[in-house]
This record gives sequence, structure tokens and C-alpha cells, in this order.
Amino acid sequence: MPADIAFAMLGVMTIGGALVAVGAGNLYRAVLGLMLCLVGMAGLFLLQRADFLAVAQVLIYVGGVAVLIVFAVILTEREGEPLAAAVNPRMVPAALILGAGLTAVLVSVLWRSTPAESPVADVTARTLAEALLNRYLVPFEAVSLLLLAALVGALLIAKEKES
Amino acid sequence: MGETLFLDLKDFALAVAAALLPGGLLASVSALISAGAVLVVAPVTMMFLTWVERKGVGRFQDRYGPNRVGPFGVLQPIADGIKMILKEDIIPDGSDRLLHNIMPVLAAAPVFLLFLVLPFGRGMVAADLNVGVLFFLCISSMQSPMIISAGLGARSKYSVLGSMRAVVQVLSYEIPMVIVIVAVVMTAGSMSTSEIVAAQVRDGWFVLTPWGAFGFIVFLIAATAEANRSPFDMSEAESELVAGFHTEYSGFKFALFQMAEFLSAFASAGLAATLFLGGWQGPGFLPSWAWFGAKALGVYFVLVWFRATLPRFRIDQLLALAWKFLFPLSLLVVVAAAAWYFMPLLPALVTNLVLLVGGYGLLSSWILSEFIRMNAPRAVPDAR
Amino acid sequence: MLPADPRAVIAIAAVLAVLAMAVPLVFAKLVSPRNPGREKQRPYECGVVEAGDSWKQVRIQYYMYALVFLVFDVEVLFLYPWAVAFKEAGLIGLAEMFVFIGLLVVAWAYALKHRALEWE
Repeated sequence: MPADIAFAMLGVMTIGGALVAVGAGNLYRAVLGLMLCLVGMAGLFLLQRADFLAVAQVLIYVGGVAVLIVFAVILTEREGEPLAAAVNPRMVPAALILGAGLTAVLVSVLWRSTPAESPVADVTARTLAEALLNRYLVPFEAVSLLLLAALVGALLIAKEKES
Repeated sequence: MGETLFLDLKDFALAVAAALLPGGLLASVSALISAGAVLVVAPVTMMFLTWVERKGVGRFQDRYGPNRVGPFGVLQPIADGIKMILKEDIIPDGSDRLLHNIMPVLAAAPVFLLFLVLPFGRGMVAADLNVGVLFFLCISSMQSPMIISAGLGARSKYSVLGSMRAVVQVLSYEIPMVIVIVAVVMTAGSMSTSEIVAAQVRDGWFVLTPWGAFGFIVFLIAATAEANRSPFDMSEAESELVAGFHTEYSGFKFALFQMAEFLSAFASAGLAATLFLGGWQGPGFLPSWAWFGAKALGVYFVLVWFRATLPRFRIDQLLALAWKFLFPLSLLVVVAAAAWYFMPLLPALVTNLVLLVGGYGLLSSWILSEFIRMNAPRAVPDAR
Repeated sequence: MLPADPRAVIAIAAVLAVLAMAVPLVFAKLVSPRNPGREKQRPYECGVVEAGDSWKQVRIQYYMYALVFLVFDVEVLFLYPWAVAFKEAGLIGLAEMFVFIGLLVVAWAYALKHRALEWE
């Protein structure tokens, strides 16, 4: 019962945040809405007993990505109204297509999955480690390479803009 | 009496609740008591800390510090609190009223959650998550978006600059801090704070090993910087940025930012005591929670000492310290901790010293010489 | 002793903490004086009339540091599951992790060499 209340509150927080992020006319409000949505999702993870995922979500997305977005907002040079969100007429069809695709994926996943008979064991950091170091070793090391590539690419682009 | 004082109090409160309420609510009441206790203890601690800080810095500077309100000025924080509440709340023209009103609350509230995962004594951790340490880190990382929103919401040049600096500093020092904690988690085999203390009861305090000693130093420096405390208080350098990101916040809003700052510094001191100094562990003549309090206050006193002694860093020096000096040291600490576990005592000791003293000494002196060489001809960088 | 569910404690504490900060703030609004004035409401700029907008474009270094931070933050987070299982993973796990840390060091050296970590 308390879990249901928490789920409802977190759901409202997540969806409300997402709506603000998409619909706000003020760019900074949109960023705040995004943060609210991300924190709400972390709360939902916590509710599902995926502690590590919840903590990682806040650490990376709220502490890292959100700050990066804020910096990007400040860094961009603006004409006239400083924080007006850009409106692009192609946004609506793009949103519709993406939304339809996502819904299709979600429905197909729900369709195929069967409800678990026994409660699923918690995904702890230990089980994650076993998976990462044995079965998913190659993807795991590839993540490191990928991040290296991301860093190199990002620095190249940033340096180019600067000069 | 003593050791289980607080646990007994909680049991008593639970027994009262059990008599009055239906049984189904008891688990919620138990959680409410744990959360409530932390929320009551934290502001009281904060009041005490402001007094310790002002008295301590006063003594360091050869003056008395607060000494008018109550004996030794201990009631000064209460007088301050009343004054803060009665001050006018000025919202400057052109500032974002929504941000200006909610950001002080959102900056101060997460700080309370930091205390949930600290083990205040034997069996006295409010929320014993199995990712306790990471929970602490993630809550403290939530501060950077709050700081920058507060600074941008005020629309003053000082607050914008101050918040940018504060955030860059917090981000930079978070990396070495997080890496150093990896070494502790490795050795304890768990991220739960209570198990990290238990591992130190078993194996001895981590600060007594070479990797632990270096790790403690890195952690302490990073924690000082994360809390935006002197000598890392670039973000609110009074002589150039007035008060940094909270320049335009007055009255109770200012008090909330101060509270966030003091409490996160104290929480970091508590985490340092938990991770490296054996937490609540100590000889039996004092109860475990008293040991924890003494250690955390001891670390906090060192932070006050830093503040009274060291001059402020320049921003390029501050960022260089994090990225060029603490980052490699923290990685070496992880490697040394691995060596400490896999080798017998003597070779482990030798390897640790070679890595941390020899290896890091050479590396850092090379980096330092490069840093000096690159920075030699230039004057002070412009503040933008 | 009934052990409290840590998630419940966190949820309750989060709600209580926001309330505990917001209620005194509202109270302070009620009891504090309110005398706005044109000069008083100006953003503080050391006593002179403010010049220009405060949302000026800032230097790109701030963004660079945040970028580098994000990459390292993600990488370091991957160390934590390994650290928990460090003792069971043994020397093989250690070797696997050294490859990972090695790439981290390469990333660091790259950023250092290309002066992404300089304040200039």
C-alpha cells in the first residue's frame, strides 16, 4: 500500500517533469523539468529495489548530464529573448513518429513477457559485477573504449569551435 | 545506559506507537522515527557547528569569537536564526522568481539525506542501503545543479560567475573522491557503510595502511573542495565575487544556503570518519555514538584549521590540483589497495610505498615542473 | 527492534526534509518586513548601476571540464560493481579491471595532452 502511494507520486513527478521538459517555453524551466523527471525515475528504480541503478541514475544524469545541459544553455549565444525555447515546425511529426515507434516496442515487450512466478532476486552490485566480468566482459571493455572515443570526439569538436 | 541509549529511545517510541496504532502501520512508524531523528539531530548539529567554526576561527586569529549571547556565546546561533527569519527577503528585479524561491529549499533539503546512510553508532544507521556510499555520493552530486540554478536565478553577474566556478570545482573534485572510495569498497567488499565499519573492526582502521593514509588525504582535500570551503572557496571569493552564487539571497534564504554548506561539510567529515577512521569503533569507556561524534568533529576541526591557515587557491591552480595531481594519486591508491590485499604483509608494504611515495613522487614532480613551466610567463588569468 | 526498510526511510526523510526547509521559509515571508524600492531591487554590483545583462556568454572551459567529468564519472561508476566483487573475482578480475583502468589513464593522458584540462 505505501509502495502504491510512492509509485503514484513518483509517476506524477516523472511524467510531469517530462511534460515540462518538452512543453516549457522557457529553456531553463525545461531543464528543471528534465531534472525532476530524472530524479523521479531514480525513485522508481529505488522502488523496484534496483538500488545501484537508482544511484547511478542520479549520479550520472542529475549530477553530470543536467549540469552539462545547463552549461550548454549558458554557452550558446542568443539573440533577443534569451531563454525562449526554439520551435521547429517539424517537431510535431518527429515526435509522433518516435512516440509511435516507442509505443510499438513497449507493447511488443509487454505482449511477449509473462509475469514472473516467484519474486525476482534483487539486482545488486555483486550480481552486476559477475555479469560484467564474465559473460559481458567484451562489451564491458568496449564501454571503456567507447567512452575514450567519446572524449576524443567531444574534445575535438569543442576545440574546433573555440578557435 | 550509554551504548544503546538512542536505540532504546526508539524502541520506547515504537512501543508507545504499537499501543496506540494498528499493527500494519508499525513499519512506517519505525521508518518515520528513524527519518525524524536524523532530521532533528542535523539542524541542532548545524547550530553547534556554526558556533564551533566562529569560535575556532576566532581563536586562530587571536580574538574571542562570539561571547555575548549565553555562556561562551553558545546561544549565538539561536540569535542568528531569529535574526535571519526577521530579515527582509529581497528579490532583485529581473531575477527568476520561481528559481529564487525554490532553490534555497532544494539546495538544503538533500543535505539531510546524506545523514541517513552514516552509521552514528553500533546499529545506528537510519537507512542501511547496500549501496550506502554511492547513495551519499549521488546525493552530494545533486548539489551542483541546485547551486547553478540558484546562481542563474538571481541574475547577478557575481552569482552567475560564482555558481559556474562552484560547479566546475565540485565536478572536478568528485572524480578523485569517487575513485578513492573504490579502494575502500574493494577492501571492505561492500558499499554499505555499516559493513565498511564492520570490516574495519575486523582488519583495523584503513587509515593505518599506506594506501588508506594516502586515500584519507585525497578524500579530505576533495571533501573540503566539494563543500566549497576555504582554501577552495573560489566560488564565493569575497574579495572578487562578493558572496558567489548566493550574493542576491538574503534573510532566511541565505540561512538555508549556509545550512547546506555547514551540514554537507559535517556529513563529509562523518563519511571520512566512517570510511577511514573506523566509524563508531573505539575503546569501550565511551559509547559508540560518542566515538563517532568525536571522530567526525575531529575531522571537522581539521577543516576549520585549513580555513584559518591556508590562503585561497587561484582557479587554474585549483583545477590543476584536482585533475593533474589528485586524479593520478587516487588511481595509484586503488592499485596499492589491490596489492595490499593480494600480497603478504611485507611485500605489500614495499609495493605500497614504492607506488605511493616513489612512483607518485616522481610523477607529481614531473607534472609540477610542467605546470610551472607552462604558467611561468603569464600573469593572473582574467576572471571571466 | 523492528528494522526499518531503508527505502521507506529515504522516502519519508526526503518529504520531511523539503517540508522542514519550506515551512520556515514561508513563515519568514510572513513575519519579515517588506519595503521594496527601485534602488534596493537592483542586482548588486558594488554600488553602481548594473551594466548589461548578467547572462553573458561564459568561457568554454567550464563546458570542457563538465564534458571530461561526465566521461570519467561514467567510467568510474563501472569500477564500483567490480570493487564489491573484488575478492571473489581474484587476479583474473583484477587483470580485467587493469585493462579498464588503463584505458581510463589513456583518456586522461589524451585530455592532458590536448590541453582540455588547462585553464587558459
